[in-house]
Amino acid sequence: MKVNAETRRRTRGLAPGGPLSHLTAAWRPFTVVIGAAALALTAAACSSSSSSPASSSAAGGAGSSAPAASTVSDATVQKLVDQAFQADVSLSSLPATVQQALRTAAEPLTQAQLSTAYTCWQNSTCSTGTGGSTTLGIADGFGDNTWRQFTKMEIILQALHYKQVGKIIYTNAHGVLSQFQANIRSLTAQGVKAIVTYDDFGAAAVPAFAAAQREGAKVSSYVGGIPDAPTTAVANQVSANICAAGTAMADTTNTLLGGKGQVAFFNGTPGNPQGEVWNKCAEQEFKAQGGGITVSYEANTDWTPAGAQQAAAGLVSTGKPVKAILYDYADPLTQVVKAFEQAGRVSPALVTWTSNNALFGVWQQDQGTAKAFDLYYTNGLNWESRVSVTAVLDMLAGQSVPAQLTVPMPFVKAVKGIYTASLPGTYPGPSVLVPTALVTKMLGS
Amino acid sequence: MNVSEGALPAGAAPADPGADAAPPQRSPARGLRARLTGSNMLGVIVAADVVLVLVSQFGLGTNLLDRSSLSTVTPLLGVLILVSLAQGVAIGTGGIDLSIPATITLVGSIVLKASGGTDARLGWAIVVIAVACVAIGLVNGALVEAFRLNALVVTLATGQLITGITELYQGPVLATSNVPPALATLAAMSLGGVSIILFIGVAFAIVLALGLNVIVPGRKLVAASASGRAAILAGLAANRLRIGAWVVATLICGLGALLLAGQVVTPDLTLGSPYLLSTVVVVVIGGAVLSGGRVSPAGVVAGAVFLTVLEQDLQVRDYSTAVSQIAQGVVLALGLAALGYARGWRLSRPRLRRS
Repeated sequence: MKVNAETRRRTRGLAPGGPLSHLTAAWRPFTVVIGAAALALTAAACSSSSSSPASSSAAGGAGSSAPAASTVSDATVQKLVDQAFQADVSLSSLPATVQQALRTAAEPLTQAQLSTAYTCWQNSTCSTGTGGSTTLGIADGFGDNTWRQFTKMEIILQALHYKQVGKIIYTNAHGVLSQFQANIRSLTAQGVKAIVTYDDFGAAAVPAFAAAQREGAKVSSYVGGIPDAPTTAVANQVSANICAAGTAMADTTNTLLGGKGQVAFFNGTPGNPQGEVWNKCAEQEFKAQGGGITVSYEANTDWTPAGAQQAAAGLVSTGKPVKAILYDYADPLTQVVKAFEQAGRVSPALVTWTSNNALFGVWQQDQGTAKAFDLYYTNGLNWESRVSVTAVLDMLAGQSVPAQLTVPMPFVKAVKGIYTASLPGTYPGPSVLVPTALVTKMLGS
Repeated sequence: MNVSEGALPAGAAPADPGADAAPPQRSPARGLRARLTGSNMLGVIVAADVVLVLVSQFGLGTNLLDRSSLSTVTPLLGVLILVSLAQGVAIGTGGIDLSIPATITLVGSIVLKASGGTDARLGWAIVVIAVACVAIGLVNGALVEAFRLNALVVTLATGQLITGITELYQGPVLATSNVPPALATLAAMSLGGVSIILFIGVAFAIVLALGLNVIVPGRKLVAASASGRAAILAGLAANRLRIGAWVVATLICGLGALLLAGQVVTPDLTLGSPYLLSTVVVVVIGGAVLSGGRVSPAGVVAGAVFLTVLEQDLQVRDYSTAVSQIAQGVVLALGLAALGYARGWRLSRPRLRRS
């Protein structure tokens, strides 16, 4: 076949040595190098572990003192306790470290400290300005939602009460276990001695914590318990008694439904230890209460709106007359309510951990209409992180702190007025102890 | 003794094929393989859909065709069709787009931040989304088609970049958490329990099918996707067409993400997570070949129906997410195996040539 000039022109670039070959053979090594560099830069930019500080003064040392003696009255502290728990819980009924943490939290911070808090919140690494020798590390397993961001601020505000904390480093694993482990190792390598953490990965992260504590750090986890973690790995855990929470959910549901009916359990990620514990205890309580309430549906939601929507879609499709849904996270529940409303049905009663402004808004909007449903919730749990800060710093100061600090988690019936229209739907509710002015600043960022 | 043609005399050794022998002609495909071609594959998946729906409705008790079920399942199906069409267009070029989940999440953030949750700024948010999608498509397309980089690696990298940009853009806390009411209302609309999102998804599939098969630019795109070299030889601007395909794919993905955000009402940073593997599974079981070529929008729709119904069944039967993921993997493997079988792959020992 004759190859005419036109074909030669079109194919010239495809042949080795042709004008377009600079986009192929010769440039390939460079594009590989450029691509690799871009990937490395991307990994560095997206990495949640902080860069090593320029100075080596980040090495933590034992804090020598707790904050100055409290100047606030017991009545003021009790008011804070009421806000934190959203229920009547007596200050004196709480463990000593929890009392101390809340007393510290009740102390007002100066305007300069609040500005510092905001700066620290916006950055991965910050200096508190006190010149303290202790670096506080925050290891967050998944920091990509509003609840986690408000919890981060709670930690920062609590840390600012302690002069020995000179630096705060925040890490976010974005839900990736290997990243979480790397972040903890990074904190250890930077000499961080006080580590507070929300461990989303359970026992998988224990070896990394153990390595940190072998280097002299103290680790305290908040909210998400790590069952069976030895104190050589996690020196202290601050959480509600998860089994007791499951029992309380069952009691609440039993009262709500008059002891009869079908319920559904919604959980987070498949196999997460929190869900396994409260599910079991709730079912045991249902049986102990006569067995009139049965669990007819269970689903995982990954604690995401999409997951909750899928779980609700599945529940709707079963056609089962579920009268209540028990869940351990309030944020995605608006999807569940929406799914039922789209299906032309009324949402079952919701018994959930934590608080969520959007859920409150939907609940309040439906009150007095045919779509009204019952809602029981707990406080937002963000403040538990403050207790972790106090616990690690007390331990570094040589004080004795129990390995487990168990806090109550009472369930509260929703009443009108719970919704705050001026705040976003993702706001974790009125139990957040962050000052209002700072909340406004955070939301405007 | 007459020796019939082809028979060897008794005691004679078989002829040595030798190096000069012509390669054996492949016998025409017979039986099942012959029937598994092109539109027949579509027929197979549609038949599978029908069987699965019937089993779900009457065998497993999922009440799939119940109005209340339709209202919750069809929005998810509609979104999956749209984002799978986007994946299909990318796969049709011989590539694969693993940045789809990140793009979806970015669109969710743009809807919230650019609109501020108000209808007045929804139009502006849509413009920003379109610009972002075009930019992402151009970057993906240029890196894959002009620089000839591997699509899997490129889109993984751009996915990471998009994720980082999304986090920077959104900031730590968004003051707005709800999409504009008009978008939420649109996404919630339905007809007889069937979500409008499904109607939009099917309509787009029809438009894409017509575009790829009827209009000249679409047919040129198919030609350029099936074989870049042949397209260049035929005088087509193959690279430009293929880069254009990436842009079109990302725009379709953006539309799906916009409707998903409206459906969810409170999109967050996990919005795109479910769409990494599922879009590939849908395109493959819809009959597409991962090495590029013609992609059937009808096959994508059928594949999306299959996967959505399967996942709904698993959910209703209380199977865990892990089982659902295993099911997706098995379906993908079986789909690839079926495609490979249809194209003449066979399990055989390699022939050793005698020198």
